[in-house]
Amino acid sequence: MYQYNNADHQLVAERVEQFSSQVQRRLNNELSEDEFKPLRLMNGLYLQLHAYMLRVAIPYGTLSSDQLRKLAVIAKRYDRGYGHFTTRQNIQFNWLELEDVPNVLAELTEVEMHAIQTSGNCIRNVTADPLAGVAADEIEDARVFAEIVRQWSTLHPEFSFLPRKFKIAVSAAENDRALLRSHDIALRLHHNDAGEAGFEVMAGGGQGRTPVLATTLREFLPQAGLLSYLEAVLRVYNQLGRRDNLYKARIKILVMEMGGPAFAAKVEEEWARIKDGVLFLPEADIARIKADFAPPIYEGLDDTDPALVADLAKNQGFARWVRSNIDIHKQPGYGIATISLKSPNGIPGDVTAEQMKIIASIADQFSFGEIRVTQKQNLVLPNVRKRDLYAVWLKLDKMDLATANAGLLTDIVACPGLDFCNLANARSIPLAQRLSSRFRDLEEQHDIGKITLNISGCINACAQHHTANIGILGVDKKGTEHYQITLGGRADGGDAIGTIVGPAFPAEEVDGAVDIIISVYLNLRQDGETFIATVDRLGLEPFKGELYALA
Amino acid sequence: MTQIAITANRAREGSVVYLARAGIWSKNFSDALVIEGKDAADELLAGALRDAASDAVIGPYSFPIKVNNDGITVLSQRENIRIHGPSVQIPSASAPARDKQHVSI
Repeated sequence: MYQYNNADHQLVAERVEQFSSQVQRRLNNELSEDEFKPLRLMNGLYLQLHAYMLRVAIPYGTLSSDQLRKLAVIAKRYDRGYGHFTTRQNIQFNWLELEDVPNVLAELTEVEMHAIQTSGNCIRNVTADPLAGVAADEIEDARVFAEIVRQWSTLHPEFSFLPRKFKIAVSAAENDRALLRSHDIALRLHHNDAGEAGFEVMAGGGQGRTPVLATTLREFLPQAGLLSYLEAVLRVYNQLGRRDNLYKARIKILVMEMGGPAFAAKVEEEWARIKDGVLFLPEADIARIKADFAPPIYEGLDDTDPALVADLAKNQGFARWVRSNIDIHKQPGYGIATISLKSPNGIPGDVTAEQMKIIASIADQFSFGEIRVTQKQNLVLPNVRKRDLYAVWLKLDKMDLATANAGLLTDIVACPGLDFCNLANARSIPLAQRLSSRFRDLEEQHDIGKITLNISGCINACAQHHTANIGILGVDKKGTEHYQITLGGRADGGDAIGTIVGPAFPAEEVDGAVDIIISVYLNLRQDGETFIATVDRLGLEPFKGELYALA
Repeated sequence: MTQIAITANRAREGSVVYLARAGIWSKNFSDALVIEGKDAADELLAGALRDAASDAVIGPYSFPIKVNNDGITVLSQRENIRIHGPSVQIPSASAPARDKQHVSI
């Protein structure tokens, strides 16, 4: 994976020094909260309901075992012994004290990590396909381009005060695992008719109170134009994006108001001016970054492993885990193992320091010391020999990390909700816990099959409920928590925004409502039909009929 | 009659505090001053905002409460969560190392 060069080291060290001094001045009351707030937000430090919260960047969701061990140390030493992995491949610490934050940031620099641009109206930490570099369906390693974008966007002086936050995602695979069309800009690497690799550039996607799927600005952008084209998009947005209304400041509103073609034309006009300038991306620069992501030295193995076949036959629980949690690796004889952070009654995305340490040591022993963070709030061991899967499963199982539910009903994505977040209207975590407990039967879940269920505690939609097959949104109705349900959303390449089924349910009825939705699906599905395919075929009526039968 | 309490976050730790009496903030809701009447509420909130201006606390605001024979009832779910902490068991709950109950300014 990418290693910091001198410039990176200097940049994060100087930032820690600068922010430490700002924190000290705040503690000495030399800076007011009004003066300090924008400074802390530039360093990922929020004030939540109960305490300060630090969001640490994990660029494109790639972690080394040493980095994960450091996160465990921070969780233990400065927080309450755990961390929370987010839907944008980052980690959050919920219980830090202000005076400790400089030390936390200093410790992070020891493992080439920081919290810069994890908040504020700037280009946020870039996300990517969490299986980049190892997935069988990929064209190239998306992290190469995500890293190039990271370098370009880090402390970019022109884009430090955008109208609103700005999120970029990169994928270079057949299947979309990066929620591309939910991003301000999404880059999808593909081949053109001439066999050259370049990007489809999409812009203007986003969730929140106005969910929009990104529109394609350009079908094919040569790689050399990557940074100049991004610069052109950002420049048009920075100049024309609305600053008069917080709710209309994202690029999606600008693209909608101008219309996709008009916005794209404006970008092309700017791009024509700058594409051959300093941002032209030579092949040699791409090759240099590619070298940083050189694959590990794999063993030459047969894809079918007799030991795995025997283990699968003797242990049903293991076989079930392999069925749901192992993705196909591009290297024969290897698998990609998802570590579910969604145990029954657990908190989606939460990992204790002890679990982090164990995962780091499993990664060292079995996965070339590498871990990935997914948009679904799980972790991934990207390089496990098939013959080692059973040993890995046993170790994970001991730590409550081997739930066989990846991609299934209880692989629930949930924001922190009203239990932690200043913006939330309703709690997300207790509902996720109740649902994960109610549907804990793995046999039943495997029978239900692939499905996504996301819970957001407010309309900011951090849990991306708009594009979940079953989306649940917490709303406040006269001071009590209610939950609105949408069906038919998807973020799998055939993206769609879900449709609200009807009036919101009070908290005590929403679990039953999910039960009804699943029952309707099981009754009406055709052979081999997934939940979303059934919803697409039948529409919402059969579900509405049952959900509101007594109303 | 409207009854309110005043809350904020402490600048140093970020923790939830309640106005116990003018200029004194407590981490315990049981110490919270029950304020009745608009004039008293306005006066104490103005004082709390001065505390914020002098940077001891962040973002003070009032919220409604009801006092009866059984004690104080807080209607807002959000305020109940601020008083009691998250409604869910966090993975490895342990008390923070430093825990000063009161801060005087």
